[in-house]
Amino acid sequence: MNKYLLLTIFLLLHLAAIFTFFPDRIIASTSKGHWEAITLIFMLEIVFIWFYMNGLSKFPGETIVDICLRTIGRWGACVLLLPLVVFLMGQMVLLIYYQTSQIRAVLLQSTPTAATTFLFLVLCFYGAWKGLAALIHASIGLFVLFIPFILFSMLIGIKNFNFNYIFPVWDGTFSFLHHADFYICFTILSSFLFLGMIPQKERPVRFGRLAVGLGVVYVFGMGSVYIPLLVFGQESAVLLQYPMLMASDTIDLEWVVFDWLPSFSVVSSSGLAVLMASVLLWMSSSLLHQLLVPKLNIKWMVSMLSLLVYILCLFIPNIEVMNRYLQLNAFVSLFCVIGLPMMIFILGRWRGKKVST
Amino acid sequence: MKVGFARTCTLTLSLVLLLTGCWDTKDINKHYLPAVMGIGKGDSQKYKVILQIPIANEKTQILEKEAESISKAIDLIRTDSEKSIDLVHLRLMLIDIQLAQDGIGDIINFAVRANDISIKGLVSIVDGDFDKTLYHQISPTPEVSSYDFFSEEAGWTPNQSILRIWEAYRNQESLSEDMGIPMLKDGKQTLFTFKGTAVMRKDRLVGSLNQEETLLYNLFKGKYTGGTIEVAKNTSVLIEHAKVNHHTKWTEQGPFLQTDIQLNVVVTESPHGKSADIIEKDLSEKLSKQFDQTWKKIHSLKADALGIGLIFRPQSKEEKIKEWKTVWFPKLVQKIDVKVNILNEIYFKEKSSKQNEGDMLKRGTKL
Repeated sequence: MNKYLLLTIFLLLHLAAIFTFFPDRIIASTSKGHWEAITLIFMLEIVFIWFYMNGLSKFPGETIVDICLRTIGRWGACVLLLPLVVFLMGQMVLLIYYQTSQIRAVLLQSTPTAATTFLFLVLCFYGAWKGLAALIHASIGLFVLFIPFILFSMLIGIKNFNFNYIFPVWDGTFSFLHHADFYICFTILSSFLFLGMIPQKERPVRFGRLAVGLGVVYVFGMGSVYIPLLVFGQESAVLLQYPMLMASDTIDLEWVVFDWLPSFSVVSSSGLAVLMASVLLWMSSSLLHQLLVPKLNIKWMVSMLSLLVYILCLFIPNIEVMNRYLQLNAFVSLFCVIGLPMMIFILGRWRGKKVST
Repeated sequence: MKVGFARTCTLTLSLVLLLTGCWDTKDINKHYLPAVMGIGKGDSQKYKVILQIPIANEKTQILEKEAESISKAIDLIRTDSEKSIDLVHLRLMLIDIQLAQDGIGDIINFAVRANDISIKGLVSIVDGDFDKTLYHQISPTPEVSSYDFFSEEAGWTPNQSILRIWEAYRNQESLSEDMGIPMLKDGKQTLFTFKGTAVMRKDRLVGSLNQEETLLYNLFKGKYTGGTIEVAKNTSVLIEHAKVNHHTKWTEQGPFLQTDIQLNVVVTESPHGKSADIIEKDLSEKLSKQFDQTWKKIHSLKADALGIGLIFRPQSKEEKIKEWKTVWFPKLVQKIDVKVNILNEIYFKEKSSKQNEGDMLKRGTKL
């Protein structure tokens, strides 16, 4: 597998998470100095990636499941990895719910959620059925398809920017640390965990390149927060459910074929979300498959899990409940995003010592 | 072979799934697409909603209903109309001045919340007979003209203010600025006549600016392309470029703002023999005075329609930003200085004042 392929899917997964959970949470978590919160998140992520990659490099040719099974046994692996499965499933359900409600709000107002969710999940199911390798190859196509749309819908608002709304730019108290919404943003960090599911010989990407990739993601993250902020100002942006989407609706361009510019933003963000949900679905099926029932065909696992996700999606009654689940999931994500890389790192150290003695 | 056939069949059948997108679909010719919505005070109910719907034969159909809420009124219109009503192409919202005096917050919130109304639509206030303005038609009326009146790509000039729904929403929530909404009424030869700019404090109408003051308002905000200023009898200039510089200072009494406006103009009309120097001097004196008056007017209304709070935002602490509209804006001291530079007189050579005097002397000796 080519390193550029891996970097592309790394970028796209982050973008999907950013367009879903990021801007409204950051804007809600603090009223000033948003860049501090964004920078802190990405700095933490780069540290975790380093731990993760460093730990993984000690086990050439093995995935996180192999590592855990071999070093800490089946029970230990279950304790460490089952929360990850719970988190991934939760993330997937919430992602799909959020995206379908966005599609419903903007594009298909009279279509029942059950129908949109079904279509959405069929695509994810197909992706996960084909496996991670196919998804990684598909990411190049999605990159070419969607990045122009994303850039277009982000930059089109530039005429309406009012740069004075950046201020106040410094928050000495780091008030966002006391806010639950800030911790929800940690769920976007899950986008690097898939790297551990590929054996190292097929993973020719090193930490340095990932850091560069993350730099690009950081720029997009800043953009996704600051674009609505510069257009609407903190005071009104905080009231909006889909700030990025609304920011792209403020432009009046008579020469664009489509009058309804937010559709660009919806189509690109939900397109990326399909990729992300497929990867999440594949990851959770493959984890469960290897941990619990290695004899069963993985495709059964994928089918069962997508049915489960569909049912769970229909069980979320409204956006309020989604927010509550999102907060719960943020706790699990803290465990997975911080705990898992550290654990892999420690296991790597351990093994390093054993080998040298 | 068999597997291939089954696969093709499944693939073909799966296309049926795409039909879910046609759920509840309605044909385009079964739609009314209103371009203008008027919201006025009802005779017996709170709101009166009037929709202007362009129809194919270059005419406008007008539908009207009253109700206690806007969406109920639209619903009542839907009930009686033969076709379904879709607000996606709504471009202009006209609000009755009586409602504006009570506050337009609810109306703007409705427009932002309704997911079929695009927030790039324009808002303006009808100052005059509301029904007459809404039912006013000039024939032939290409339906879009009501929108083109404001469109920067069509009939807009800097004498008119312009405000979109999202700007209205932003400004009514903002701690640092208020808004100015264009006011209009029905015109004789045109669809509308521009009457001035309504100055709003939060969402409430508190005063108005006339057309000349609106030009200054736009100039201050940096929207000036193509504005013409009349200096004196027979003398007008066209603004080519305007540069607005703000110098802010927090003193003990409160905020202080020194604004320098540098105008680059070309002379479009001037009586024979009036030199550029004199026009420059006249113009800068006149504009300084007018700016001062306009500023005093807006300041006395306690509405920060010029968005000065934003200019102070970089220097202010969060507490001061929060108190801006109530405490600091009324205490603001502003000085405006206008400098004018005449670029040229288009096809005429510039006459310096000295040459001019010589000319006069010659004429004098001849007499």
